[in-house]
Amino acid sequence: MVRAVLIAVLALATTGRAARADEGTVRGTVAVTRPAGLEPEPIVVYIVGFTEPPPRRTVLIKQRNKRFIPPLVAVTAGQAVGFPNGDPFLHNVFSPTPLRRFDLGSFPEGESRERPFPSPGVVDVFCNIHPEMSATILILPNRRFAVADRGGRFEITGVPVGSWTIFAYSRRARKPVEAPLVVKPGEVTEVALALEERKVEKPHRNKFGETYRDPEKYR
Amino acid sequence: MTRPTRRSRLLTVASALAALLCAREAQGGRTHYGWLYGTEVNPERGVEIESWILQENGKDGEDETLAWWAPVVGLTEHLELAIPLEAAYSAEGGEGSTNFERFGGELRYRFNSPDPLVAGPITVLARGAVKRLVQARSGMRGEADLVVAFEQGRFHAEVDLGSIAERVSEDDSEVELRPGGGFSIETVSLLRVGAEAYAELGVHGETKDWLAIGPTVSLTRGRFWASGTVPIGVFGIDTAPRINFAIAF
Repeated sequence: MVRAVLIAVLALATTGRAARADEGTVRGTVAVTRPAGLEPEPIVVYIVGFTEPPPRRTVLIKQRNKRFIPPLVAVTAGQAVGFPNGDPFLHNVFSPTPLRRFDLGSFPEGESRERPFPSPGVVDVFCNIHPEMSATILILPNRRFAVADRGGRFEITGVPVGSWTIFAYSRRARKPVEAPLVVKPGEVTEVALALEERKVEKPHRNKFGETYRDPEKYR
Repeated sequence: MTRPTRRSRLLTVASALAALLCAREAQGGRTHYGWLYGTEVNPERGVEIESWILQENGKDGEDETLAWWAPVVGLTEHLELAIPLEAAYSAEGGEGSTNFERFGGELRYRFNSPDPLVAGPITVLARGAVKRLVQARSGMRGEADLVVAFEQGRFHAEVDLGSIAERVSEDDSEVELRPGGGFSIETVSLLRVGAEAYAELGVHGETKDWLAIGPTVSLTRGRFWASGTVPIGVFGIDTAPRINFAIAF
């Protein structure tokens, strides 16, 4: 009897989350058009209409070579984001977004700071020392999101059965594209989305609300 | 060299005003009150130049003005260090003099996360300072504060339990309790108004007790914050106006 229970527990542990009858899978592609010469950036596909608790895992945005890597992350409301510094110099990560203002101060290579993001929305992240650094955090109401691969393909499993809205988000698109979505029990729903990227990074201000100083001017 | 035209001068003024209005909230170690310390500290490695000008008028026939100036450095997310220099003018019976009074170091430790969201509505800061007295070569002064603040939405209130112990010479020393409390409400665009009460009460030595209550105003703009109060004496003093201001780097 004990052996049978152990086998059952191990089977559950090794197979991960079992497919449930009240869930389905959403699979599809995001066709992205972008101006020539622009390097691809992450595209996040997410579903809105229901809420789920956040996972315990902390999502990381690394600072390396004066860039935030990745420049776009998605988290579930309540989840934390860590900001490890991988550069041999200081960074001062901050956000001016009213939804979630923060200022991590300046910290050196090998150290990290983290902050929780409890409310859904979009948060811009910058470095007060290096104006070229910018990232975006999408805080979503549930865990049903994915980052599309280089070919624009994505798959989101464990989506509750029902009628929802699916979005594709790019930092360079004027706004996310959306489509209605109907998820049926145990079925795979195919979705095709098209996103036009055109916006290049717009200048931002430092944490005091001022234009960044031109290093050439003060040298 | 060409002289600036009226239009270019107007543009300059308009740009400065626009920059001021677009400025964001500073994150420095500010206080919303005149005589009370705040519970915020500078971000790690953040530097702020902080200044105070305070007056004690009509304190049992004595008038005092103190100017306090210090660079304040965020050592960690919780701890900041100030290195104050203090100059004072004091007059008793019509004769006055200005002196370089004290210098030293002080540490301010915030027990809670620097992130208001993580910290919650109640935050606590402890402050300790050690200062040399310039005119009494063997003199020392110690200062300590425990500040407890409550913040909910636009409302802020706090209690500051302060004390000082000063030893001028072997037979001249004093100990004072310096309690205070106040509240502040954010009105528009980071301008806050409120009221505070503050007292200096002698425990040991020749001190002059006083208590004053008055309105408080504070403002944060970009890298600048200022706070001030004009308390009226309840006993032991006529007025005790004070202004604090700082600029962050």
